[in-house]
Amino acid sequence: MLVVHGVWVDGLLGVWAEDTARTPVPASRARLRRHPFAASTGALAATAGLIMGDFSEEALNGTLSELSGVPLPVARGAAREAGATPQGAATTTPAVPAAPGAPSTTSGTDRTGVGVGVGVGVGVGGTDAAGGGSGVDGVSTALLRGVTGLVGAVEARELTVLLPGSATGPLPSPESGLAGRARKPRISPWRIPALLFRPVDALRLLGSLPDPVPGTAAPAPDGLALEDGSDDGPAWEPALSLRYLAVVAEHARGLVRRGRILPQLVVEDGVHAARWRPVLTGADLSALPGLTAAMPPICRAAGHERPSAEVVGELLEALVDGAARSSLPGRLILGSRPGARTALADRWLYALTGEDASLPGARPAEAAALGEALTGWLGAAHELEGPVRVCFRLIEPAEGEDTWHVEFGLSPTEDTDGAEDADGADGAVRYLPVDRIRAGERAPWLPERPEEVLRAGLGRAVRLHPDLHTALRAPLPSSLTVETAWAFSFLRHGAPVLRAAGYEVRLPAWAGRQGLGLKLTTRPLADDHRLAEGNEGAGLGGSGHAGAGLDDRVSVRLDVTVGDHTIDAEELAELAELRIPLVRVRGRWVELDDLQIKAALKVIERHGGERTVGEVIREVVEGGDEELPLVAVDAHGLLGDLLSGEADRRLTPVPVPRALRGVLRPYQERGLSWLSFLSGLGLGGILADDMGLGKTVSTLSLLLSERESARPGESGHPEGGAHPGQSEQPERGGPLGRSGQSEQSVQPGQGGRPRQHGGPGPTLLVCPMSLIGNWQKEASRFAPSLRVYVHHGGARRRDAELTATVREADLVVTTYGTALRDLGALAAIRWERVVCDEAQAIKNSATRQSRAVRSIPARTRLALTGTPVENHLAELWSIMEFCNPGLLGPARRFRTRYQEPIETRRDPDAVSALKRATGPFVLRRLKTDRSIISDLPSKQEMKVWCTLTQEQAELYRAVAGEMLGRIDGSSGIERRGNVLAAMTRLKQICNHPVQLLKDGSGLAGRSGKLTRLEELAEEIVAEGDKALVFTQYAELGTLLQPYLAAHLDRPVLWLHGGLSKKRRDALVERFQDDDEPMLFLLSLKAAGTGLNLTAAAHVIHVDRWWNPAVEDQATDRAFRIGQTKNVQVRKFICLDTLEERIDEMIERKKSLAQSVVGAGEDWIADLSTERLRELFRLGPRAVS
Amino acid sequence: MPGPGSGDEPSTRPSTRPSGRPSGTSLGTPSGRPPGEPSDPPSDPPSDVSFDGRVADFYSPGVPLNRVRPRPRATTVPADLLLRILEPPAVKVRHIPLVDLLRKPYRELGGD
Repeated sequence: MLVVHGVWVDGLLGVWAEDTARTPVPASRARLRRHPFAASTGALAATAGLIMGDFSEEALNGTLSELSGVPLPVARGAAREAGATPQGAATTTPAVPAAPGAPSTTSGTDRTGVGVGVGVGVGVGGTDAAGGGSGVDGVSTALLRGVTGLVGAVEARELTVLLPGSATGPLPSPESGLAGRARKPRISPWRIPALLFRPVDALRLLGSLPDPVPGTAAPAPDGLALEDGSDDGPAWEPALSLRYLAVVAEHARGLVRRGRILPQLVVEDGVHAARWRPVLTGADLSALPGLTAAMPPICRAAGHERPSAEVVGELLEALVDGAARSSLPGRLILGSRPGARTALADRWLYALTGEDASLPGARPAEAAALGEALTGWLGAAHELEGPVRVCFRLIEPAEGEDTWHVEFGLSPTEDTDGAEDADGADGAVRYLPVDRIRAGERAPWLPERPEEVLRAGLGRAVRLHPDLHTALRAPLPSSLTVETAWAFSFLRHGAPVLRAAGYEVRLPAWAGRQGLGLKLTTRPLADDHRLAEGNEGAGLGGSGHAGAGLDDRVSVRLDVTVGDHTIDAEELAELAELRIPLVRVRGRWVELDDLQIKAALKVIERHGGERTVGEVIREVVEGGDEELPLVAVDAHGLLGDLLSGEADRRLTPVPVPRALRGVLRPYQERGLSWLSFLSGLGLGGILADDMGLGKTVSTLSLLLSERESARPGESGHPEGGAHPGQSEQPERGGPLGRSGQSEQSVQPGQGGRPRQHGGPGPTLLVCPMSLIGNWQKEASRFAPSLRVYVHHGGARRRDAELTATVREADLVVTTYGTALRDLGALAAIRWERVVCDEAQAIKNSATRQSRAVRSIPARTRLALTGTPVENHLAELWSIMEFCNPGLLGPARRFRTRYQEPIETRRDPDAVSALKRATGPFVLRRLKTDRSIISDLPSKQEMKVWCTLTQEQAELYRAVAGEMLGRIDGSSGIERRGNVLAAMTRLKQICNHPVQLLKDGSGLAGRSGKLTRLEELAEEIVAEGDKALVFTQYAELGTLLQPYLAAHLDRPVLWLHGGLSKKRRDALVERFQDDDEPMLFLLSLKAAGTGLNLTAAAHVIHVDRWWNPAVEDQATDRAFRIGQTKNVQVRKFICLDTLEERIDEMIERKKSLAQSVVGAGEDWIADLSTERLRELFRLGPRAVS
Repeated sequence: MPGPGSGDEPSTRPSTRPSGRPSGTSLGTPSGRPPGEPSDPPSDPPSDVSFDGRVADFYSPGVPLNRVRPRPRATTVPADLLLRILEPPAVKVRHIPLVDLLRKPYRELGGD
């Protein structure tokens, strides 16, 4: 895998990569050495082609096959093999003539990081005088140009970059997963092959990086990095430095899109040039310190250590210029290309677009005059936002009057939140009307000459809203008295532009809010009281299974409202006659327009009628029209419960299924009622409870409940949980594996309970691969009567066999990857329900995965997620689209109706409307909710079942076999040592192959536990919680710390025995007192006792000590006096491995175990070889 | 012919390539700006920890990237706002005021 980094060098984006397939070898002793595991420029160019989409895989491979000796950006496994072949090692690069137009490179080390003695310039249209010279890595220049030509104009150069490391080599980046140690790392220069992109191409490259969501790796060339080991993972991954540069590029593009740029005349390398420069004021300017602080040091390490503020400045200027050139038309003025003798302004305008910005031979006097005018222009733009700004306050007429006022005043710029109060919460004056200033009132922020600020501000404001020009006529302007038409124009046109230009505009609270709204009232029909209050037992979902509920008919009335008042047809007709659409209705001012009035008149005409319940729900979700949004709903009975968004609290509880082996907490019972209610109606829902609140058990309860409802005479077997007619201890090898068994080894059609006529069909549950084991175990534990089939892996059923197997199943568990691959077969089956667990996986509606899952037909759907919105509201739309296809309307409408108003200006009307639209279908309970908290114990322990990857499984089998052989052939102390060694190795494999192999290879995608840890950590961090992660292996912590830090894009602490007490105390203090870090890795031995870490609400035991007392002691670092939150404790266990078996032994004989296994793992050494063979055996459920 | 940057240049020079700026000069201040003209940023740029002090997180951002990503903004603001609010510069191209030439392309930047 290539880990692709970015540096800023000489006005260009430098891209280089670490190649994890290359084994780091000690570097030479030369003063300036070559980076020992940097990728070649050929591999870089190929990767850039993939990123920018210029290559298909075939074209890429075709071109690269000619590049002998160039490592291809192939999947990791293949790359590892290729790593044995040295490539480009310590190549001395002959100089190749630079391409015309490309910046020339001089020999010798310069401050910009261009390497010594390397003068390679390969660009589009470049010529290679040598015809077949070698590039930076000894690659044929002609071939390299062939590659780079496809990806745009790039230069291949060898850079000198400062990196931390030791005498033997630079330290690898955390993203690479490579192991590297240096007792006292120091900064030293390294020669690195790189590609350099001009700003225009850099923007393209940075804009093409994959989704920056943590954990999203770049896909392998075939476009799919499937989750179950069918390929070897990503071919490349953007490092955080490249992601950082992409963020800067986003800022630059935003500035250009908003026109926050001005053209300038600059001097570059002694030659005049036409460039676009950013205008940074307000929020753009405020963002600069953050961008500067965020810059990873590597970004500014080319040549020498550069100040981050300087580099950010260069970056933004260059990228803004590039983005402007990409966005503007080819020419700003018609006519022929100006010649060298043409007026400079003409040439300058021409050079503002296109590739060539240079203006050689500009006459100094002409350049000075043009430069001065433009510099002054830019300066004035930055002056716009001084420390004090002009403020306009629109004051509505007093009752019974029609005269409006616009008051002028001044306010400090820092107070940007537009608070209406004249004074801040701290009592400080935030706004002063001009009249009061003239009367002598003062505030600390007031400038020395406020009149001048006011005059200048008013003068500029007139250019934006000419209606204000009368203000300038007065010698001492303080306010305007205006009519309603003027006020309307100011509200509609003036205020938004003035605000955008940095003025403060204070408007009445009603301004900008919807004037007219729609109220929908439903009532049961006279002959149909099923919707009436107190009659929930029948009809609409009373039992949760009245499928006809959506077809029930109700009477509907539609009214037009202003605020809380309903207005009738007569009043509406009067409003329609008004000339100015700003009116006072029943004491409240509202803005109206023709479209609103017309829409309202139409509503009044149709007024109401009869609808089905389904139609009413759809109408509520649609939320009315843009002109006339739905602002109120009045419904009775169950329909009212549903639409209230509080259905779980208002519905009649559904009985807890008798077959459930466990006790539901009250909020889980309410969740079951809600799930049953929606499911009965054939509606989909999102169960979005916080993590740890029991979404899994709620879902299993739903399946049990509907099976008991379908067979009222039967019950789940209260004792054994098995259905009548079945043995309590189901045989292995039955037709369908019961939960917790080896499903894929069974034969369908033997035994088992055939589906009863009319009973609920099978539920398809799609989840990340890492959760398959967890679902199996939880079903086995809580709902053993459910017949579970895991559709996953190479041995999974296909075609008719699959259909037959599914027919006999209650719950079919599969992964997102398998659902995509087997879409045809799965979509051909009629499912009762499709459930998406960790539904964030389908948050992007356009991905193949999302589309695949949506296309599987089902009577009803359910999404389970703790974070229904991670980044933006479109994710909610995507998940809702899965649950209730089409209900929220097209994505575009959702964007304009909800997403943009909420995300850009937190529009309260849009927030209410979205809650109304989605509330019925989303159940979200938070741990912070007092009513939920009171339901929970203060410490909640859970086992997290993980599976092994293929690689882990192979390694496990091999090591288990070898170690059992050794144990068998040994005795006494030697045997004991062998047993403990076997235990250790197998546990290491369960953690991560690298922990055993110690080969420095990458971590990503190779361990089920690590995948689960990543998912949990992301969720915990997203919720703003903190977690302790315990391991008994220091080497695992050392591997995990940089990896998780890079993965989460946050610091991660690591406390182990090698740290001094002072250092440990500092880490604990930081974790306890600061907002970040949020994740604390701890060695069980070093941190198991004595520490107070109550800032954490989560404890994760990645591996087990199998001594409850030791684990509890560690857990108690968080769960102790001072803890104010509930603590969730998770213990990771790999399915069907020694981890699960030892856990079972402990659970079966807990009291005995506490005495027997009190000494940790030593007792295992006394087991017979046969017992050990069974203990170490790798079962079929282990592998994902 | 004397080249740019020679002694013939007036005191108010065109802006120069930013790499020539003194260390720590914040952006938003055009190079070559007369002293005291435009406003300075609200706060000084954060001072850098030297590379030697950042060997442990040399490849990592100093603050999470999510915090510094640009936030979505209202799209109702016209992209030519800056041209409208500022006093136009005394620059003409073929006798046409520069601002008149730029207005339409600016509007198109915002997708109008």
